[in-house]
Amino acid sequence: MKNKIKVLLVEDDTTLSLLLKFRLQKEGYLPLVAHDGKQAIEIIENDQPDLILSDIMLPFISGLEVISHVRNELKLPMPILIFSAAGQEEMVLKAFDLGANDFMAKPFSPNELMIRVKRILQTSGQSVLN
Amino acid sequence: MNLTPFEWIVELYHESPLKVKYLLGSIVVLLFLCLLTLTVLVSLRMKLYNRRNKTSFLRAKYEELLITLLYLDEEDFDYQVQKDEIVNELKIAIKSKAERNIIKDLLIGLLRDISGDMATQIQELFHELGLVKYSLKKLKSRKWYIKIQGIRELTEMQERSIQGYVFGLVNHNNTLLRSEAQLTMVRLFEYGGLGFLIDLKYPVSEWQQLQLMASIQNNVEFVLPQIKDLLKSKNITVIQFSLKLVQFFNHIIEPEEIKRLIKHRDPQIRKQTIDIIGEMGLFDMKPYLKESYVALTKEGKLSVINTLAQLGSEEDVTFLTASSEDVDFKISLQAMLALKDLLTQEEFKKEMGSLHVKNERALEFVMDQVC
Repeated sequence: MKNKIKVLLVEDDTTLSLLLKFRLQKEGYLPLVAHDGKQAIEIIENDQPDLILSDIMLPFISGLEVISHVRNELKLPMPILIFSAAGQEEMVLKAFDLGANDFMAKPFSPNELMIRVKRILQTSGQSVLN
Repeated sequence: MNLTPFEWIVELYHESPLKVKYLLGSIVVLLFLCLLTLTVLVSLRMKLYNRRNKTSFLRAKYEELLITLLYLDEEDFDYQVQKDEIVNELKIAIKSKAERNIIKDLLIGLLRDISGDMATQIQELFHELGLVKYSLKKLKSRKWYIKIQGIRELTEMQERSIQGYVFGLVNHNNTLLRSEAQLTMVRLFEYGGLGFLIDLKYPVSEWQQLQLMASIQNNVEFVLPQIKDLLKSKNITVIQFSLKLVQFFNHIIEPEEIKRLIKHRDPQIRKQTIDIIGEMGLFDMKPYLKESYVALTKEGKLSVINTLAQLGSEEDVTFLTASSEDVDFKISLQAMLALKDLLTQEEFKKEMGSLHVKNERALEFVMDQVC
């Protein structure tokens, strides 16, 4: 059996998280879900996902800290796509400085998100089925 | 004689003096009241806990139902059956106020984060489930805060059919309702969203102006309406807000309009207009500024000097030198600082030497900076 691509989804809004989880499953990915930064770091350390989709504003540990941990502590190269609300431009710039690869402003279209996920995975040498 | 503890207490009570009897009686009553309060508090706490648990359970249940509904595949053979089943279940749930609020909050929350086809689907679902009727019903309430709730829900759902109703509230005597209606106009209607300003009777507070500005900035489809009419409004705050829009959008105003506003009776409008000349680099207006200078208040004069500091050239040196002789410390200092930026060190010293009336304190301060 071929391994599915693991996508970590870090989002504190349970409804949005569920919606994106469904969509990722439908597209053939294996979604791993975290509702805060702490859970996200645990999952990253244990499961090493192929892609991280993360909100910036998260309880306990922010999305920026998660990116910093992945890039500076764990030294992992997986692509990171962040979501931000309108008016968080500075945060987005910080996220790029820390090593994020792409961003999407809320509200966003799930269809567009999936296109970006595919593109970002292709760029990093992954496709839906390894 | 052997007594049980209860009998001993009763006997002790009977043998006690009257004051002690009162005291003991009071202690018993107080203990009873404490126990009663504790029982009520515990039961309230339990009730709240159960309600929260029930809400979380229902939230999780309806979250899943809604997401399943949104992801149903139209090409599946039993698509309609599945859809009807979920919609019916949700319609039944909506009859209960608490469950209706949960479902409505879920849809509104989702719409804040999602755009595109799915957002349209969510809006359609809001109609299909009949939630729109409940929100519209709120608009008919006598209570202003219920009306606001209804307006907010319908605004979140981008329900543009409420334009006429909301427009009727922009001049309401209730400040909060009026503010909400004005914000909704900007949030929902990109074309003509600010049209309500023309007939606005009440002043627009600074806070409301900030909120309107933020809403305009967040509405990417917003188009600035014809501002000329707004600048002629009888409502001073409308002109002040319009000038902020002019600054934000770099909107061009006709020179005649600027001249009229520089003479406006409101000092803040005069100041804002002069500032706009500097910020937008309207060099042609410089001669007019100098002409109007004498008639302006101190704040207005300072704005003119600041503007000349931004747009200044050699032709303004005489004017600024004359202003440096002003008896007012602030005006004199501002003019000298403007000259300092405009001239070379030598030219500046020479110009200062030629002053007839010297504001010594201001001169000393600026010369310290130069040397």
